[in-house]
Amino acid sequence: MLMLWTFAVLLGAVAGKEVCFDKLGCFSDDAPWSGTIDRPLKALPWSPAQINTRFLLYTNENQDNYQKITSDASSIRNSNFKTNRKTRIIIHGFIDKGEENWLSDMCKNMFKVESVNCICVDWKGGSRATYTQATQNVRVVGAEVALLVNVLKSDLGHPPDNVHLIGHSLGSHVAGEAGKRTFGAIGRITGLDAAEPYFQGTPEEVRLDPTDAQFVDAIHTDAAPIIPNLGFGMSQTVGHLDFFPNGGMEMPGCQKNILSQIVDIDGIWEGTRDFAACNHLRSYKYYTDSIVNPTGFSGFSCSSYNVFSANKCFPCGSEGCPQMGHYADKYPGKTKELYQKFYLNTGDKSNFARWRYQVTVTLSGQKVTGHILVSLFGNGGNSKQYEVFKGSLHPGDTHVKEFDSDMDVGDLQKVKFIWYNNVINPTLPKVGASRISVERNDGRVFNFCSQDTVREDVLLTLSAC
Amino acid sequence: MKVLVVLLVTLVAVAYAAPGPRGLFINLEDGEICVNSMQCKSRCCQHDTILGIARCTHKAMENSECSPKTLYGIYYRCPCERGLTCEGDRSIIGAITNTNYGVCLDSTRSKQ
Repeated sequence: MLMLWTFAVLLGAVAGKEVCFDKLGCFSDDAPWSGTIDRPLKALPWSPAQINTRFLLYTNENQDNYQKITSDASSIRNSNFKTNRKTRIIIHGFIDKGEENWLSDMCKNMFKVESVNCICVDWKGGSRATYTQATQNVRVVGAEVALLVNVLKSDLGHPPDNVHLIGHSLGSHVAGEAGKRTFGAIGRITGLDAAEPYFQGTPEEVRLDPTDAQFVDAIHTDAAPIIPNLGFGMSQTVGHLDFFPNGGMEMPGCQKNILSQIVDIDGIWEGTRDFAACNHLRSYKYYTDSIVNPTGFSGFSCSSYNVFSANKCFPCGSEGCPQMGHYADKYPGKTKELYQKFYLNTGDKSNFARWRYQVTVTLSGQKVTGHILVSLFGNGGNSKQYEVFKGSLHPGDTHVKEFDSDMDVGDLQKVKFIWYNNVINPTLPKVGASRISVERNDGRVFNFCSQDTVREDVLLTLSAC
Repeated sequence: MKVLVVLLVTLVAVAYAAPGPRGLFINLEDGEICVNSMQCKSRCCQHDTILGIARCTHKAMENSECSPKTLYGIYYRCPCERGLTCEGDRSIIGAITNTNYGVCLDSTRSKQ
């Protein structure tokens, strides 16, 4: 009897369950998809009919209203789809839906800079389920996207290397699954804060990884652990280029008090989403802003965010800096190795783009205690005032600071210096800057000099030496 | 009992993860809701319309639109950064309606 029981149990373990769908293939609940330490609960994906994956096509010709297409070639031919254009497919994540504003907003930004077929995948039938179930449904949605890509190739002559998949959260792993099923032929996959639970530390066949496409880039914005920080995104590197804006864990502007966060600039709904998952949602906001800011998201190669913050990784290397987001594929070193890490800082609200400058100030005048600020002026405009130093201001001392300007001032033409303290100075002391050097992230240095000194709260203009 | 334990663990996790209670009234960061500029670290509480929600915003930089400082403590356009003055037309009506807009210019520009 014991032998019989043992045999039955072993047979059950080996056999497992499997479900098959027309055109998509079979899906089992065996390891590594279920019944592992990472994924203890057994589950099978739902059927394609239940998930009801839809492809919503926007093009430059129909920017406000989508056309529904399917993997039937005639529906694609009858639409505004243009085979001579690039195709970008945006895939939402858990609980989300394809008709949410952020997907169509991302398309609209693309139409400002290029002619493109922009497809928003709607799989809310499969994403609005328990998380365990949604992670299984990812496989079916990935297979559907792969089927579409294959039909584009075989029936319309649109090659997979002209396809770019952009997935947020679970959508990143949908893109990874689609990439695997097309054997890495897809041109590019962008993972926007790929989901951590059930995927971090799993084998590559389960999650997004660099072999899923010719080029894979990832943005990490919620990389803190799920327990206890409720970080929903992976901290693990998953692409050729992995960007960790602001360190990848806590995004600026996500620490507002509750009232200010929920009552969002974009309305209560957007604010509620932000309250629930502000860091996690930032990834797609950065991507959307990067489309219209081709130089505003330079990522610096660094061993960690702490080293980046200590100003050890400035300026860009000899190949320049990759741009996080839309233009990451312009970086010449993009596929020279896997898991390249890049760090940068962003703004705290849209427009999130920032341009990094290193400023070196040599003081002159009298000795006081206070704060010094600098603003930059160039052929592209001028910046805010940025604090460079506070403390004892000694003539002859040199202070170095890096800051992230919200303006790209271009070629620098002059610099303005100002100092203040919050005490009464009966002797009316004067402080100046004999020299201010500004280095841009491409390594170009601009030098400015002045012999003058100024009283508190008066601007000193420095011209080129 | 199992559900209760899960709920408790979840509650602890959420409580731990939620940032410590932040100021609702003073020392507000940019982007937080305010009714007076004294509440803001940046010293400017800005709204777009008289009935619109006001938020702390950074002060206006050189060459951008501004208002002079007023007693209202709330602005459609922020006052200027240090060393700059808000140059523009002034009127009594503008002072009353807080619409005396101008441009931030360097106070020392005439010396050049």
